[in-house]
Amino acid sequence: MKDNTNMMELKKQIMAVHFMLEDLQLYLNTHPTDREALAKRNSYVKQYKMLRDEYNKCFGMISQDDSFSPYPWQWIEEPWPWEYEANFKL
Amino acid sequence: MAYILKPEAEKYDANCMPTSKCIPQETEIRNVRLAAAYVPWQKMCQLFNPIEALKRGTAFPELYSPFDPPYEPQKVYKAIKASKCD
Repeated sequence: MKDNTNMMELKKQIMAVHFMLEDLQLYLNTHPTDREALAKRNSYVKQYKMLRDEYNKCFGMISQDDSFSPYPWQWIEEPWPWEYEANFKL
Repeated sequence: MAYILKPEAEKYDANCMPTSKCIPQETEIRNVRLAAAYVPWQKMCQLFNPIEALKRGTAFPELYSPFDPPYEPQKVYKAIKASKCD
């Protein structure tokens, strides 16, 4: 049985960092020469990649698109997004 | 040319108090036109941490603007129910 608390904590971090990326990118679309915002955005990209790598290593596929899967196909082993276990409280 | 200047009394409210330094309070608009809306230019100041941002729906504290309900829904519901008695 996977360590569910750590898994959800990591998933929460990943989603939160992803949200920072979305919002900073919207800002950059109208402020493309804001160096500080760009630096922050790029540092969140780094964090995002690190967190996703860690998730893939410890808990399985974080997404279908860019996670490797051992045999057999692992994606269907995860709870579906609408299931209780796939979600967290903020 | 036109200036938009917020009245002194409206500069600080509960929501923008901590970030009022980050919100331009005086803005110069050139070639102002009638029937057009103007939005102050945002300048990134501080950011919420990621979890806080996800909770509040924005990474930018000066854009965080929750709607506080002006009434208690329960009270309104009870009032409506009571008024239907006769």
